Amino acid sequence: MEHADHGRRHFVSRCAKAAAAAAAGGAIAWWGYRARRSPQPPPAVSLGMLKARNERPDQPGAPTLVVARDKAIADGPGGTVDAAVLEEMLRRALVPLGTMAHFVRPGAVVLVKPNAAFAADPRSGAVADPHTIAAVVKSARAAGAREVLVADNPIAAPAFAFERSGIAAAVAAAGGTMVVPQGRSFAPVRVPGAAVLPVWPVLFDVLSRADTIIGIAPVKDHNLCGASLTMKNWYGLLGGNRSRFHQDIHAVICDLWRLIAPAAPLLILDGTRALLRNGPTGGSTRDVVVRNTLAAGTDPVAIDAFGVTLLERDPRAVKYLVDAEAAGFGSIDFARRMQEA
Amino acid sequence: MAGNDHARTVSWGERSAGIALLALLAACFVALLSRGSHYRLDALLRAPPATSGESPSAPLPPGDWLQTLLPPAFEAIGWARDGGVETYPEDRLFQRIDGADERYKLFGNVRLICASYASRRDVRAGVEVAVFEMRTPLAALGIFGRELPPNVTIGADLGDASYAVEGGVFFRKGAWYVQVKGFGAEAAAASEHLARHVAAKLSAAEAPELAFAFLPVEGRIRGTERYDPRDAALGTDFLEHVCSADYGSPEKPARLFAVCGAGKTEAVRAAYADFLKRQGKVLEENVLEGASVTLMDLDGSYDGFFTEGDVLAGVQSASDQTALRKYLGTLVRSVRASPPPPRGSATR
Repeated sequence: MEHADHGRRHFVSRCAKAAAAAAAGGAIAWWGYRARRSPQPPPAVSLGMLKARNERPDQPGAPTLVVARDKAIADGPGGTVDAAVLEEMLRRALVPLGTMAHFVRPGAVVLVKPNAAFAADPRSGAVADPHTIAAVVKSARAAGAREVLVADNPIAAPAFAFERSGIAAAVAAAGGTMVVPQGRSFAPVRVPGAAVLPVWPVLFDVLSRADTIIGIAPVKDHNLCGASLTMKNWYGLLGGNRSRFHQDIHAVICDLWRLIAPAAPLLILDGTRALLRNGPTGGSTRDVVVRNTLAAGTDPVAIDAFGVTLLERDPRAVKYLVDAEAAGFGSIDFARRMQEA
Repeated sequence: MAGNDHARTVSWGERSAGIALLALLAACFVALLSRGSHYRLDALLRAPPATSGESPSAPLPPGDWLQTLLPPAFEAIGWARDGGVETYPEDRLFQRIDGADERYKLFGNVRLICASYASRRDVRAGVEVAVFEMRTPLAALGIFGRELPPNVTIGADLGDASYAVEGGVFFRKGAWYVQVKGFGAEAAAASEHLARHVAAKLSAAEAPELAFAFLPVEGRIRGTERYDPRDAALGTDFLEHVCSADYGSPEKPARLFAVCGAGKTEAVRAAYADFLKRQGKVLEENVLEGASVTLMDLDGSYDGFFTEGDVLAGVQSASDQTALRKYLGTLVRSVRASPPPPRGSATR
């Protein structure tokens, strides 16, 4: 009996010790877990800290928008692009802005952000033409860029989208590096002065490496905001469930400029084609017209206002452009500092 | 002594199991500390990146129907599917067509089924097939009309209405709207083949008559019927459930429309009159075929409208005043000849 009591006491004692050890272990684990997963938002950065901040001296009297026109596509909406003509158009467009050398210093890392949103043939007008992207990559390399990264966060699976549009092959042939975003490519970024864009995951790994940023946007109709041009192009830097911004699309587009403005990007508008209807995806080639136009500039409002005219619409009917002008991002009256090249 | 007895009650097997459990707990603890930061909310919010051949879409329903609809290969023409068949329910359309998804949701979408095909002879030749299952045949008619480009010839030999443009074929059948997009001559032949295959697999259904019954049959250009539930119907932000169709020459058609006022016809008429007067000038307000009509000059394009019972009807973009009067007269007679819609109903 005494032996049984002793055994029971010993059993209870061991159970109590085990429970205490488990509770202590659990508490330590929970403390460690909470320390790692703080309920506070992760520390956010602003793109004002980037290397690609604006250090270029303004050129008094220089145009903020240059337009080049030629016959890069000679045979209709489904026709092919003459790469040599397009490269010459780009060269002409950049001369009044100080040439590509004004934006790209020898040894620089350049980030090219095209609109490559869909796994679509560029003849649909839904994505920037691979020839235009290749021309920009070549121009940056010729200006002495050490590395030219080309990145976007498409709606379709990134690798598939880059391959199907022909952008991946064109970038590789031009000497650039196509960057396929991964989950770890994104970091939370704070946008000072943002109206609706909260601290949000942004394609930060390539942004943080770049000395110069260049945006390339097609000219296309957009179901929600009217026109998708260079300002809307930065939407492709966002990660997360960005479709939640549909209801505030105009405000978000303005916030996207607030996001990228510290980098003072060079803006390229690929007006070789214009998608007049059924954007942003496009329907058929009947929705596309050939414009054979390439614009370059530094004023996002001016270059986009010019792009809206390629869609045969009134720039002042596009709300985000009116809002952007009111915010001081640029001028809708693009003709004032525009030059034909 | 007793302690030694108890120590002997724990076997070596039990000791080994205990040590293993402790080691497992320690490993979990270390993993949590070192990897825990990877499970961030922002990472979870991000749609998982998919690579070619993977699908972020909903799992395929049981059965082989989707594989039959979009089979792995079309051996007869030497084209094969590039990747899998993907499906996106309405609430995840944005994962495939972000920005354009709201257009389909406006009309009522169930899901998108899509796949890519490539030629075995020339891998650069590709075709994208998108099959939109809409909620009703009327929704399919609506989105087909919304995306219809100008100056295309609409046929009836493929589904309920179809057209082909350079390399692509587009059609609607019942509650389905299908896009087969390609570029170039080789893609055009494949698009035609794929479209006919898909059309044969889809069920047919009659669209309800709605206000289309008010529009005259004579002179209507086949396949140009449009239904706009709301959102810029006829360029306005206040008209809903508008039915319309093109008449006359396909190159420069006039558009006839009818909309049931749901008991608010006079208010709708006043709003529409204000809307037009901001764009042009009133030519005359007169009686035509017994109806009070308003004729407008919109900078060289001629519009007119009238109300009859609970119906607002009219003409847009007539080429001249003679054509406008002719269309208005025909439309008045057609509306009068149709039975009135149910009271309080926006549609028939």
